[in-house]
Amino acid sequence: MRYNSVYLLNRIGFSLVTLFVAATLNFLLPRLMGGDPASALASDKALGSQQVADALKAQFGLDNPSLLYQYGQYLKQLLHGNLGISYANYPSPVIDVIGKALPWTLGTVLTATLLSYLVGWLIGIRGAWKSGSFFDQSTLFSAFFLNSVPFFWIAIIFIMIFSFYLGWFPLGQAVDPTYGAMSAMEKVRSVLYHAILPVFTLIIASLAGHILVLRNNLMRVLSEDYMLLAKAKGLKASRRKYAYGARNALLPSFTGLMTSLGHVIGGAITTEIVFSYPGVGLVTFNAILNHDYPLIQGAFLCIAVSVIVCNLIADLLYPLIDPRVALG
Amino acid sequence: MSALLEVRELSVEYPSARGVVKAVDRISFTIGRGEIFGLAGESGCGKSTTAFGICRLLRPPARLAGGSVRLDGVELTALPEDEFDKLRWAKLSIVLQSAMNNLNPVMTIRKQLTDAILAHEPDAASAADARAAELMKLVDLPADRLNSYPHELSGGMRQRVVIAMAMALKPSLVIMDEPTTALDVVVQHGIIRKMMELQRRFGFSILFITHDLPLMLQMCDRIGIMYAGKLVETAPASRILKEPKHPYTQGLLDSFPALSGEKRRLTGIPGHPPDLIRPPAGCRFQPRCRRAMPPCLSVEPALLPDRDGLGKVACHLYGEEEGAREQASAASE
Amino acid sequence: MTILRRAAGAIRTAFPGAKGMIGLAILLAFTAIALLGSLLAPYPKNYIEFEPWLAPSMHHWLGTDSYGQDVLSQMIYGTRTSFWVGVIAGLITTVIGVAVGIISGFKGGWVEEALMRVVDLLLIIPTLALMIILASFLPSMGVTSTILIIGCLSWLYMARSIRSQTMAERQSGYVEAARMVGMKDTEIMFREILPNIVPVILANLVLVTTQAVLAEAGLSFLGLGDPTNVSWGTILALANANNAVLFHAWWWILPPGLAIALFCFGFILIGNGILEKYRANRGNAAL
Repeated sequence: MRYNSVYLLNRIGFSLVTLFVAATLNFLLPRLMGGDPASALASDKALGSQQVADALKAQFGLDNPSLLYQYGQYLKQLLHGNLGISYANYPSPVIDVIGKALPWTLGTVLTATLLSYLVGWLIGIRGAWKSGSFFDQSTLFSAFFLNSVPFFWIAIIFIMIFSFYLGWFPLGQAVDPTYGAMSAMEKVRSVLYHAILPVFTLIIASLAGHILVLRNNLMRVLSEDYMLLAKAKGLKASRRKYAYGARNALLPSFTGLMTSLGHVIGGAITTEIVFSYPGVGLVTFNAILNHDYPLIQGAFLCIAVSVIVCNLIADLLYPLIDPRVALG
Repeated sequence: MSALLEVRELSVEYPSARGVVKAVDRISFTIGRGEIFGLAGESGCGKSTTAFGICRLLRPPARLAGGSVRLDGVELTALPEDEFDKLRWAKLSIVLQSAMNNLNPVMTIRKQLTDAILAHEPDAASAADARAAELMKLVDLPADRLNSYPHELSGGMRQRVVIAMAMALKPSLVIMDEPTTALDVVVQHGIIRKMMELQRRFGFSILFITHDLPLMLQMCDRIGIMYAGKLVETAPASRILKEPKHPYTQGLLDSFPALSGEKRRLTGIPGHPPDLIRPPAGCRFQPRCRRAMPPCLSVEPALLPDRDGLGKVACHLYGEEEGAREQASAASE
Repeated sequence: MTILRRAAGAIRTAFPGAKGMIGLAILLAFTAIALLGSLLAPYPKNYIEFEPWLAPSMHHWLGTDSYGQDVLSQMIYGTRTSFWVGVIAGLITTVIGVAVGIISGFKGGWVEEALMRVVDLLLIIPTLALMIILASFLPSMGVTSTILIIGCLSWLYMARSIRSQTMAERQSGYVEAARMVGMKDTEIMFREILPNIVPVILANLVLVTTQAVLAEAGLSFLGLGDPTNVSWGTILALANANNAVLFHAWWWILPPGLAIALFCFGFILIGNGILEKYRANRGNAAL
């Protein structure tokens, strides 16, 4: 076992603090922006019921002017999974609306992040190994281009080409309209079929960063003495490239993988709007359109929590692939 | 006895913004079987570049610009890449300067020792582990260290691992490029002793590179002195110590404390090494040489055997009219 | 003549390499459009009297949208918003990022520890999500609030990069010398170190500016921009909301994205040119 308890506690503690900070920001920012907390969470007009509004106000301490008391109540409700009631989806609680949307987002985002990392890794390594080659130059150029276009624009272009003109993929949605009447196999097919283009969009849109980082890392690794020694040992090029070069180039980028997750989720928010894909992004968009403040706040929290949890998982995996971490 | 390594007219150059840098310029020397040959000179004189040129490890844009390298009668410079890969490590291994970065940080010592063996003897899989343990014993490291990662070992231990690795296939030539420079003095002595012991035991030849001239004089059978990409003198170590011929060698010796005997005043060599893109005409050392003469400014001195045939020197002081020159210089002193 | 030549030399130093020159040309073109927008645009802003869904023609180079607006005119007016949001938000980000980076890199100790912990924490939370929360709770959104929100939330990476550069500078002789003569910390940080890391700051400025342009487009696309204003992001948002794809209206979809890409690309070219030159200079110094 490569874990040591200090590392473990350190990472878990850090994640908990981050969670706490995200929750606090979620409480503070709307108030700092001059929003009225009562109308943001318990507007009787938006909810259409004075009773429900009063009950919510009591739950979240909004009947008490003390900010500290409100904060305490907010944290208490949060621990019980109570994020309020969605205005636009009354009487569904926010947590339910998000609970339905989150799997779609996490599924596409995680798949896309991992695939994009893998593809970016292969391209970046090939580019660095033969730096200055036509392949290297053209992927560098494409990476710079992809880095400077919005995710949602790529999404629109892809829909136009692959769905509208070529007809290869559906124009949007996560499943067929007849999903309810389908057999299990057909359901799986339907879900996968609808997910391909959104995932592909996210992969392409987030590829650039991985290519650039991996290429830079490998360029640096290639100048290390152990690469020279590996060559002097007469090792095969493939072994030098992957076991010696790529593996060392990969490690520093692993933490970047999880930072990029936040970036991809940000991109997924707008991409889902283009694909009418029923994930957290589309929920957020509709919540913004409908001034559904409880839902906006809930969506923020859930995005933050997802990213923090994924980061923790990555931190815990890291010592397994880099022998230097847990001991250093 | 024919020489193990014959280097003839070897040149290495690399392009730069201002022009082509001639890092190594037509140098020739030989190393006998079981001989320890040292290359010395200031940093940047091309001694490491020479070593990398011999084992074809030059990093682009540096490239071989001519000359021949024969190891055991086989011409290395013309060998196709895959043929040369077979020869690497099996006949010609190398120990590099930095103790910190010689080893792959994410691979156990065992893997790094065995992959050198397996690359050349793919059938040795079952025996590779035992051989790795033997190699560790060779350099006085416990076999359980095989499971360690490089960062878990001290700098000295890591360099021992690298030396063990260099022994893995019983090569006939080991190139050592400043193998102990990054280590502290005590560790350094231990490692040098170990290398000498292994050399006596297995009888391989060593091309030893360092800027530490006293160390080199102790270790090596024969020494070559390089200056600005040129070999300026080769001679047996004892001869270099007692009777250095080239003014640069003399200057180099004067800038180190004496190994034994009377205390001398240390003197450096004034001036800087020349620009290798546009080296001075004639002798390259001439701008810094106290004994420069008119021909030094225009005629490049060739590396010629000296009178007793023990060494070679490239200096006009020892030309055909050597006797006369020596008288002249004696008179001037 | 000599003045011209000297100016050309100065430009070449500031925007090194062919890449840098191309980047500069791109940016100058956009600056001109942003400044002279109302003179260049063929039709008034938000003028909706044309026939909708017109394909590109001599009268409407980029066709018209579903509302009957001339797309080229909207693009030109949109350039102004995107340009200023990018430039000003980029500057705000740079000021914060440089201050945090230099202070934490130079002071070290608990100051650095605290600042970098905060940066690490905030880096995990997706910036766009934070921006959404801020923007959606503001009573009204205008260009100013967009700029402030983007500018104040984008400095994290930059702070890190400046910090590591400052840590490297802290080792160098001139900082030691400045300390010996008893200069105050703030003086050393902002009079001595700052000028020495200008290339790194510039390269970062270029990056955060492109990030700001992209963030503005994202926020506008989400309907969190100024509803009365037009930017490349709002044009795309409208195109998407009105199913431009289904009407084959590529002239409504392609230009805003390509404009964003080209604008960012110009910045990236300049940034890379600066960094490459800086690295090359440093590399030589190290040899």
